[in-house]
Amino acid sequence: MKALLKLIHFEIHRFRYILFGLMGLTALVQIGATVLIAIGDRMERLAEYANPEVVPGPVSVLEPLANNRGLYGFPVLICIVTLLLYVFLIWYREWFGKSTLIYRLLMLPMPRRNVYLAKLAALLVFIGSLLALQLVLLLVIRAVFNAIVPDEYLVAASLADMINTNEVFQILLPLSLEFFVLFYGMGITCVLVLFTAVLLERGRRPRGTFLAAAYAAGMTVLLVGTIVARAASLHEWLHLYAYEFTWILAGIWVIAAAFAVWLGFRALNRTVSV
Amino acid sequence: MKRYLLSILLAAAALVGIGSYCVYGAMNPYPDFRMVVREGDENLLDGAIFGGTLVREYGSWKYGRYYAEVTTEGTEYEFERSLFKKRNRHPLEAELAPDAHAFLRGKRHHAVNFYLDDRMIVYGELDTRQAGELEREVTAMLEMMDLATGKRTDIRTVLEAGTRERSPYLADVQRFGDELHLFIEMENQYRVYVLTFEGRLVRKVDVQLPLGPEEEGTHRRVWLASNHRPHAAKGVVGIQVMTYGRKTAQPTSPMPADIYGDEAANFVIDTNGDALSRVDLYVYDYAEERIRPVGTLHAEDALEAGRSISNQMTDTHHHLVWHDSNQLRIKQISLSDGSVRTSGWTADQLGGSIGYVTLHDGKVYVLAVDGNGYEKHFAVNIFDLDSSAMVGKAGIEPTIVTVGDVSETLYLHGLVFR
Repeated sequence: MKALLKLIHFEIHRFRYILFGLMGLTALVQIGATVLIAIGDRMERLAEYANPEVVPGPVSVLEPLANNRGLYGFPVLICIVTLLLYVFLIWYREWFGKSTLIYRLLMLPMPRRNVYLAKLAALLVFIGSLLALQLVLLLVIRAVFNAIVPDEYLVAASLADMINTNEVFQILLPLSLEFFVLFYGMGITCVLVLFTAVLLERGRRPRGTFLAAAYAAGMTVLLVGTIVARAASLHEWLHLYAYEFTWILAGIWVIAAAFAVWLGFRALNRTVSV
Repeated sequence: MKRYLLSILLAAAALVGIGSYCVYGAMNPYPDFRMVVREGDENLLDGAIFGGTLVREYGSWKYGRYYAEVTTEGTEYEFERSLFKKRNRHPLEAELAPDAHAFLRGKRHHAVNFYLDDRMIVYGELDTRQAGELEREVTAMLEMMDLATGKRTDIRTVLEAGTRERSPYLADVQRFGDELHLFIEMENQYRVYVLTFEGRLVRKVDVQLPLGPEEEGTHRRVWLASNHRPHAAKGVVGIQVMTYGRKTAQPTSPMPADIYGDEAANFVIDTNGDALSRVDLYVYDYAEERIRPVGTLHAEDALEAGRSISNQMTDTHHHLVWHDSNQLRIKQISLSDGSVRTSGWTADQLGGSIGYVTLHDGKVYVLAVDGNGYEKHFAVNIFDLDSSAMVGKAGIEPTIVTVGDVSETLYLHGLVFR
């Protein structure tokens, strides 16, 4: 266990600059945008205030969030794309670097699965910490906006409504625990499948490329197929109730995740060699 | 330990951040509206689900629309609706013993496709297949289950081979002795097919309405009456002949009329903008295997264009219910002697402007809304169709919708029963 924790720390430590960079970018863009918009709004209101015929309406932080969805969502999308690329890079960097670290990792006196689990855990920490940051940023954005806009025009906004202003936030931060587990469970399964595909490719080069591609394609068809089947109400053809079908599809995802882990461990233990 | 501070801090931040957010989500920051029965039987709203939208407004700026379903148990918002729980109960589940529920699996929810008595349950569907360039073959697919033994029987019987009818519609299934009667509509022609339990087609009965030529300046449309318990054993099927006359307003809908589900058919003005002037009611009697006239409902001022009219036939009467925002009227005709009775209520009597009317299982559910920007009162008035008496009243709580500059307004736009 201690060895695993050390490996997790090792993975987190290696990614720290990129992670802090992503955090900084997100904070800078979102807070900066809020400051600029709020100051602009304040100036506008002061000008309107000078005109006795115009009565400016109340305003809340929801307005800038809703009117600038792209701006607030852009750094989040950058984070998502970076993490997605890093799912591959977290493995390939061990082979392609100044020193091929994979030799040392695989020769460590501990089960090889720890390497796999450490990389997975590190990715989860990155995702979780970025989500936590986004939650904090939403509160900071609200505080900044409220501080700049004059109190007499200000209307308080709830965190739930702030999240609902932006489709990116809605998907990343669903209010329902069930959907939270569902979305992130599906995301983790996809990461596991990609991990396994990488290990299959690394384990049986050069034909491993085809093996990995076939595996990834098969899993894509299966997993995307479950989503399409649910959307197309296939349960009606199968004489199943919708909730029963959902349980079956959830089972398929769990089995796909378990299979990916088993195959990944197997590839790491048997075919990936130094 | 200090060496691992970065990892510890990041993991802790992730756990605390996501954990506290999940707690926040579980607390549900949206209001919990609830239907409350204030008069009458507490079970009147069992299975009733009011579909609505919660609109949040920040000052004058409308923001936030959340679809919600309000029941006597509270409000369920769309975002918290579980995918892993059974939601849509089959309408017949409540009437069937639990061990017979499996029969309902995979079958449509339309109650007209079912027949249920104390001995058996029957489910029917029509299968139409191309049998030639323009001809089609219509096959009845029936599934029966003996309620005492649980024994199931499937039969397939070709009803028509070489018909040119495009979309036959199974409007009713009945059992009489050891015969099954299928009442089928084919492009406004009605025909009853009588089958044995083995699937042998015994006879066909053409249902011919005794209609004369249309009067000048009028035209007719024929609709089957909706029944309050379509799956129950009954002696007759109602047929309404709607005669449209006087030119009135411009049409409000591009469609001549629309049928909403099995429980209520709504009639609006037709494409010419003509108003409904009379309704002649006929019934097809299964026992006598012939059609007989029941009576006529003549148009009055309330049957003007633009008003939505619903209908429902109970065991003793046929009812037409129509409303606008200011009044509700029910006109009923006795199936035994054709006598007509009219009842009416004003918006004031119902507790506010009439929003919508739903007919279900021999009752009328009328939603009336009263209020201002700060409070909104919903009144659900429930009438028994046969007696036209109010049997219950319900409302939605809480009514206060404005706190400071933030207002939360619930708009209800439909009632369904599950």
